Amino acid sequence: MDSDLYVPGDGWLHRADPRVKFLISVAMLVLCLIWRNWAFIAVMLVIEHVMLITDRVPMERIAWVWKILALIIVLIVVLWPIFDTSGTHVLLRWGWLRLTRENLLMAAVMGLRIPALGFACFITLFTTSQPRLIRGLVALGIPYKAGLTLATALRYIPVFFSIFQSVSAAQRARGLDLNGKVTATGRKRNVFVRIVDRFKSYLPIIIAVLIRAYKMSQSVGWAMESRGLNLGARRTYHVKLRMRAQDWMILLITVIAIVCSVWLMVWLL
Amino acid sequence: MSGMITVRDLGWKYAPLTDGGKAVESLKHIDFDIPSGSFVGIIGPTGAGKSTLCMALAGIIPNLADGTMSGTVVIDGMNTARYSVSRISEHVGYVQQDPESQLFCASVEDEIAFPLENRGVDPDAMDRRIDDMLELVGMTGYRKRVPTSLSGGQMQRVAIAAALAAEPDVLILDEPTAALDPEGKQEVFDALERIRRTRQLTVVMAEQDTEHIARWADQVLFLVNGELVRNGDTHMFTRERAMLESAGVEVSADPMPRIVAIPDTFDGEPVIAMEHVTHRYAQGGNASAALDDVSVRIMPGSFVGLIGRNGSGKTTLAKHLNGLLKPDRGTVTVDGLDVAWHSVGEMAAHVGFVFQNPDHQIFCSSTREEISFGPAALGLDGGTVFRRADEMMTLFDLHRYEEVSPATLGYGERRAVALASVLAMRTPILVLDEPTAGLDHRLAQRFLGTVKRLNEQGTTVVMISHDMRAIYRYCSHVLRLRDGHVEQFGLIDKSESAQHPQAEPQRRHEPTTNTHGFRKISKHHNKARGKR
Repeated sequence: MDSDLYVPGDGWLHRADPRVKFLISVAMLVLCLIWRNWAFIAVMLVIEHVMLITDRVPMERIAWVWKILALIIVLIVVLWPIFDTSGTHVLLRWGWLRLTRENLLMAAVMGLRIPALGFACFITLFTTSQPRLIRGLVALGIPYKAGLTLATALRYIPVFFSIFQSVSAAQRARGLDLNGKVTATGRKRNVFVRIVDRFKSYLPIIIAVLIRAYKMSQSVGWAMESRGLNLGARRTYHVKLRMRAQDWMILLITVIAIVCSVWLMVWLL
Repeated sequence: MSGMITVRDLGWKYAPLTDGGKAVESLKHIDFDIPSGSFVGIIGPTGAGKSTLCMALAGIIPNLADGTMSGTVVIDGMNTARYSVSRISEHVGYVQQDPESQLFCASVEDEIAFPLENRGVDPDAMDRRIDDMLELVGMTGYRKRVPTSLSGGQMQRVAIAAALAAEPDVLILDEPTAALDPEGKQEVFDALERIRRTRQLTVVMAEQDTEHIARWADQVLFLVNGELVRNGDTHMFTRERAMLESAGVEVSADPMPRIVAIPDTFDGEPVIAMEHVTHRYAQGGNASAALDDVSVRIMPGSFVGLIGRNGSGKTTLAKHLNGLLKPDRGTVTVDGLDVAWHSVGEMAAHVGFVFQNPDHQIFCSSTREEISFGPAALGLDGGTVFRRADEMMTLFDLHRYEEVSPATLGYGERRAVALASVLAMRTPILVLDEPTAGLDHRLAQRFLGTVKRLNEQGTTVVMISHDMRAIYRYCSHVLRLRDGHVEQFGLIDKSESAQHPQAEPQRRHEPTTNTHGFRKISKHHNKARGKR
């Protein structure tokens, strides 16, 4: 990842008013969080993909989201039935492990929920440029500085990611061999030693990245200040927001969809 | 001419970085005046306080930085201690050294719109102002670009445009070209010259490279150890050359050497052999290959200078030598090992790699630990590791920082730790990626002298550098890359005739004349400023 989260483009989501996109993302987040129904979450996931694909967000970016979430999804699906032993329909019992229809279903729900929540956020983040994001937040009454902080943090994620990579490369270039099956002294290393070594090697990298992040954020703060951030004059905005007919349409569809989902939820209960 | 900047008895102590640490005195009793409209160069060795002085002139000191200030700085009638940095910024533009940490927006136009928005400029007038500013720095047509996709020289020009958007009277530049290649440097200086011709602007610039300062400056401030040693004009460079050089400031009287390669005879087994190496980055969407069919054979004991413009593939080539990158096509054999089949950790015993940015390779909590990391990872016994670390700390004068976290040291010392930690591994091959960028002349010579001695003892060295004088002086071979291709490779021709070829047109040093007319940017556009 060497670029911003924002994917430059001109699809329908890109052109949509950021405020409408905030509503879509928040509605999806809330609905997926409160309703533990695997079919509903699966449908949400499909809708999210259809939205991103029709907006012409490249497939690589969508695959990238799955890649970064893969580990968490696998961990949750595997660990959920181990720790949640509730449920009455026992399928398998082995020592303290108790697999039931209920806890397996919940594992599936949790596994689907992670990408559904992730994509709900990326619908806004992939399609909204930094100034439109800030402008949208400010238009909703969020203080400008809070919006600027959020947008700047997003802007610097790839920068810190690349610093992480280069510090890690520097460690390996000085002889740290994390994948080798033997140490430099010829001792055999088993899988567990290798995993522990890997996490141990991350600690100094994280510290190095934090030091760099601290220095960089200081410098960014100075740059902002020396361009008049706290001048106290009434701020104007280069980006203008205007709700077009299409935006009202999207808004209407979103509201109808939310009402339908809530009605469905209540009716099914 | 009226006085634009008045500095009286300025002192600054940085707050200690760690609890119980000592405050670092960075500026002592500085007095000077700068008349309106002049171009002032601040020179001095690494750690002399050039950046600190720039921060004081921009108001960062004392308003934002942690420490104690004494004395006064008055700019355009404003005492900087009494106004916020934002208020000062109406009169003073500030450009920092690192382009990455001062371009915080997602596009070039947002970068320039930011100061206009803060001042409440009418949105309808902004587009024209953005165009004007970009034209001024020669960046027309880059409005929609993402700043991180630009070259270093382009990024610094955007930073200058953003600093000038609010139409300050003074522009402070803190080593804006330290990280740039010679062409990028020239671009920045050309842009500055163009700006100064269209408007009244006082420029104060800290700079390591005195060549441009000698050509443009009206006034030169020479700092050593936080003290203003000389305040004069550019005659300083001729009259007091010895003094400047003894302090570590390079004064370039002799012309830039021409690097000409002559074919080398290859006999024996090469220590580095690249055969038809092609590498393409998967990300970034750039279709052209970063390395395209590169074949190079380097003999043991060579000192190869790897040169070429930013983005020509130098770092990509270097990263193939220890396996940080693997070739898409072709083979890389280093010290008898095919790099494709060995991990970076395994290659570390053969190839020492010094990265461009010292901050990206410092990760231990003390200097001794940092230097010991490599030898220990190679599996050497404790006694040997300890001796090697001692040896390196003596060589680079680092014993006093033995237990100090290297990340808290000054730039020159961080460089020294980074180099020492790689040299301690005593690898037969050394790869250095711009090892002396941002260092003053004296420190750079000390570093390269050490590397040269190792080279004389048989270490093969590959060094990326933009410093042609250093290449000419230290390297035996030159490898020039251009757009991923080898443009030149061979022994450096050090004969007289190579330096003075007949009928060679002199390179023009003047800025390129502007053919297009400049729209003089009127001060009236800015409504918000009014009569504050």
